[in-house]
Amino acid sequence: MRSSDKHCATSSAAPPPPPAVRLPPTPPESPALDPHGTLSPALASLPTETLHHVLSYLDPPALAAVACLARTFLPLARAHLYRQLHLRNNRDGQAAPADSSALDARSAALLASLDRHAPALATLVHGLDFDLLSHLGADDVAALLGQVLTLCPSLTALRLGAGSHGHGIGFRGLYRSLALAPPGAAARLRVLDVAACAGAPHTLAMLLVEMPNLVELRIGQCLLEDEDQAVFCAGRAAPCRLETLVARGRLTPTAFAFCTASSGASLRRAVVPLCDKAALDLAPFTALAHVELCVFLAGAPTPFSPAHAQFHPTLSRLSRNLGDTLASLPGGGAGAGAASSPVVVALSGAWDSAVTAPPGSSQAVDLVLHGDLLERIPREGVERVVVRTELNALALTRWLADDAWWGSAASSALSRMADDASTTTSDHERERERDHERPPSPAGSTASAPSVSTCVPSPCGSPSPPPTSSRSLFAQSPHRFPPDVRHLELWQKTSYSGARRDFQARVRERVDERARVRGVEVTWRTYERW
Amino acid sequence: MSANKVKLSTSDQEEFDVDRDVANRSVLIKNMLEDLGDSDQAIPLPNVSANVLKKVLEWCEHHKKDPEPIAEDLDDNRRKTTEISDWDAKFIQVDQEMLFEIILAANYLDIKPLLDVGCKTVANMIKGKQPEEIRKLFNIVNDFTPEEEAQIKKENEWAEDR
Repeated sequence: MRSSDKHCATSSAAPPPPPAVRLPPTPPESPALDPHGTLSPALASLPTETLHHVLSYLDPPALAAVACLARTFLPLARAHLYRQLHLRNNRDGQAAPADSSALDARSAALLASLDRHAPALATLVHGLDFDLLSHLGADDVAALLGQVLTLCPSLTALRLGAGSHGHGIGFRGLYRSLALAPPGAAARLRVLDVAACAGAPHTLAMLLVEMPNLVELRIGQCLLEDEDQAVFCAGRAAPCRLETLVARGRLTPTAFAFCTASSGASLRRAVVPLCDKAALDLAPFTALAHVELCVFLAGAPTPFSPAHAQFHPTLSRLSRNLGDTLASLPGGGAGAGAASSPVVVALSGAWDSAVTAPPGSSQAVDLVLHGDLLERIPREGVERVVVRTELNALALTRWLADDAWWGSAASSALSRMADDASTTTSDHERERERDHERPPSPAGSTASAPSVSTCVPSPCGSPSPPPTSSRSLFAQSPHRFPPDVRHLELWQKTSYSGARRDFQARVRERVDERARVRGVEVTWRTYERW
Repeated sequence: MSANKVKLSTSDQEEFDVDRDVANRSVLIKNMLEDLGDSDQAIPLPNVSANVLKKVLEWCEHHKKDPEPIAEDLDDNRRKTTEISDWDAKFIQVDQEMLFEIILAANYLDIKPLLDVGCKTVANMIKGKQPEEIRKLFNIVNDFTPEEEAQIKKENEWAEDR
């Protein structure tokens, strides 16, 4: 252990006397970068925002070193060191000893330093990221959060992590901490991010009722029902005007309505689950510019394979709900209302994990259904489509080849594409193309190149055209104008298998080729996991 | 002049004929070109000298086919990575004065990926060094009293490597 560690450990137990040295004030920063003439001309020539940019890449130890360089750097480094607090109780899964701080040594020392130098440092804190990496009782959580909220009057953003157990800190701890904090602590919060929602949904509802200034809400599952709202919130809804709502788990229609009750004119970004139970009504949200619909299979068995009796009915409902949800977009969908700013639609979700084919079987069925989801995207009002799932060339190229969707803008290239599309709609050709595009099976992905002959036919037989009820809403009427979609952002899962990477490269090549003909720009990105 | 070429004029009155897709890496130039329309006029860049512009254009040429940068949705929970591609790392191996000139030019010309490369390079020069080493590297005069410096070290003791 270095000597500084020892100092840290003792500082949390017995705070030293107040500092005798008067440090230069932190805010406001001097407009000139080098009022003290301590920098080389080259360094002094950099604008303050560029230095902030440099410091944004530094970790706390480097920022601590920068703070000591010269007076010019102190306020800059302090701003980065203290803007966001990261409090942890990393004790390798062990509970905190009874006679020590509930936090680990670094977090305890940070809090002690803030306390000693309040308000100079504490006022710099704007965000708190609090996560539990070992057990901590609800009272300790409430006491810690209450302490931070009291100490840091500028704290407006709160993130509660999922914890090492994945269940989160719980709304109750937060609710109790607000009772310990000075009045108005809840009202000043603008960002609330709860990675996992341990606790009853009504507790979250009671919290939100107290947060009128919230503009960004990120939550996990929230299964609020009408009775909860009536009993615990006296029928009131969240008064905040949200600009961003991100829900990572299931939301009941009541929870969605509760959270967004006052956000009709303000909500710009919504990342919400598309549940197979019901479609969302997005019509009231006139400012929406980004909608991300996560596919979420409520109560789906694992593995949820195409052979499962509920597989096709469930996906059919999902597909219909996606269509209805997108159709409800202001200015989009079935052409209702005037188009506002372009909407980004992203499809993301649990396809890779929730839709699991038995080992060795074809994955083609769910990929065809992916394609059906793509066809549900409104032609108007959507400029950019983000597909954050592993789609193969079959689904994407079928969509890109669908003249009914893309309209009849005349070009020789499009005519060729139309021919191509009509060919691929025959069962024989579809089967052939599916075989060509079939990815290597997960079981053999690390060992062998994709091989058609090793794939067992799909349990559902050869894919037939989607049933009329689940076909594109837009395929039934020809369009005279090309759709608004000008940009596709497509994601592929990072793979360490050479065969899989080759397959993905072929997918990119094929999709790029078809997208070029449609005049759509494609950006490829990769993901490890969501 | 060809429609695919644009003329750029530097602070020291040198002119560069540049492919439009290379020049378009600069948001400033791209916007100016859109405003100017089809014009043979040279675009004045009064804050960039010829030797710096040459270097910047070298970067733009290499990266002309890169996708448009998408605003990163990074929060403070994740420190930004300071990784730089091999080509960029070699490109940015210049003396300190030129490094800062490139950063200034990238900032002025609004070429965010190049600005990122420059700032990451400076950050990498700082990382892992003691204050005295950083002062020496960047020619910074310490204007703290010993007591003040000790006090600052104390207040940030929690942040030090452990």
